[in-house]
Amino acid sequence: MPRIRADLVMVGGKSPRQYIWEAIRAVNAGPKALTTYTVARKSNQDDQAVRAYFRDMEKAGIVSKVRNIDRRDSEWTLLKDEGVEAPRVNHHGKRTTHAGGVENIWRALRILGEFTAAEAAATASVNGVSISEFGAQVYLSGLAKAGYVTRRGGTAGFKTRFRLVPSRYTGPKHPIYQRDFDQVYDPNLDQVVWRKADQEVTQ
Amino acid sequence: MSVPKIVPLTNVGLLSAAIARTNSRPQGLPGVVVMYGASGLGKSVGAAFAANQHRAYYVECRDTWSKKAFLHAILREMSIQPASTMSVMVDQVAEQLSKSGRPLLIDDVQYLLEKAVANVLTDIYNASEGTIVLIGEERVPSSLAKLERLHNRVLEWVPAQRATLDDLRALAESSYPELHFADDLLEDLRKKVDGCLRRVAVNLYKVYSEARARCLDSIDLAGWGSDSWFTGEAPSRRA
Repeated sequence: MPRIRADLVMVGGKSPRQYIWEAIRAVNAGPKALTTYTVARKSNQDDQAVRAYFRDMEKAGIVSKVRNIDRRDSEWTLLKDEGVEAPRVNHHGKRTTHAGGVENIWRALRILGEFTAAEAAATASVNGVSISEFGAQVYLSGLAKAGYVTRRGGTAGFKTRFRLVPSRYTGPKHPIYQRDFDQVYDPNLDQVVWRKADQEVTQ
Repeated sequence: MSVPKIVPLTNVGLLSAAIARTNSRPQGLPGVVVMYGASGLGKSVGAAFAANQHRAYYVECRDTWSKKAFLHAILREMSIQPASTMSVMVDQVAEQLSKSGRPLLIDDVQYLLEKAVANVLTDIYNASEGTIVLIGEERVPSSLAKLERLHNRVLEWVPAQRATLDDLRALAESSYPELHFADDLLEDLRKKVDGCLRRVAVNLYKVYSEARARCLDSIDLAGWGSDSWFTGEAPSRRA
């Protein structure tokens, strides 16, 4: 009996490209040809989005085109399988580190447990990623509103220290503070965990 | 209190350089890095910096973990849906490690090494050939020596160094830029706390609050008095 294939599937909320990437890996492992059409059907995403992602990844050297099937459909081969996480490339085929700063802050927060915004910014700004102290302060106070961190200090001469509430570490993906809606979305749980509007209603 | 400072401290540089070397090792060489040292030397700070630099997966071990709990924790860090059996879970971890090329940082590894979980670690390494970083306390090398299969896969040993005067100076400057600490004060502190960064941070804070109360903008050993360091020992009883 053949062994069950351990397909890697991400937990939590996923971006459209994450769905597409998982479909690419699944189709690639199966007997079917890796075409734009099969991936679009398997991932349940828009054909246009799948085509755009293939085009970007081709520029990045992750996939290469085998042949054109028709005007909108092509067959591809996967050159570089990078694991469960969808490669993040822009339309020039360059790797992007969009939101890398807050991702690093979230990771450092889990390892160190507690820091000020200045220390968070210093920890997170490595390897081409950068976030300012102000940016870190905004993000951490967003997390504080949603109850992920507690704050202490913040008086003259003592900067606010943010401490992670250990039971609120929901997973490796950073919660997203959406300032324009004033809400916090947690991709690990795939739900909005805090909304300012809700608070106003209860008051 | 931890020392959540990413100032250019010795241990931070040591660990991240070791991981960088291991990541670019030639094919066929083993890929386990071990950092060990007493508590409070800044291993976790080094880990935080290295984890961000290499986008590493980070797990912190607990004493109570079974094999399954260990695998679950790693898969959670990778945000992968865990399979139902342990052997498939090892495959999942190994596949993700080798495909993504991201290192796996395992902190407080001393909890695992004495138990059967250590073999899972060997399995993961064998199946992935990825970069695995073990961080633990002073006795980690001797525990590892008993695990022949894992021991000979270590590429680099990184003993955590006790803080140097430069480290203290950097830490003091970044924590309290408005107060100038004289070198003789820092040197005395380093000797008293035996290079333990966590105690250094506690004491610098003590000096800082005292200096603020006295409205000083620089302080040296004579001004502070060397008997008032906090070394973690309970005060001796007085007659």
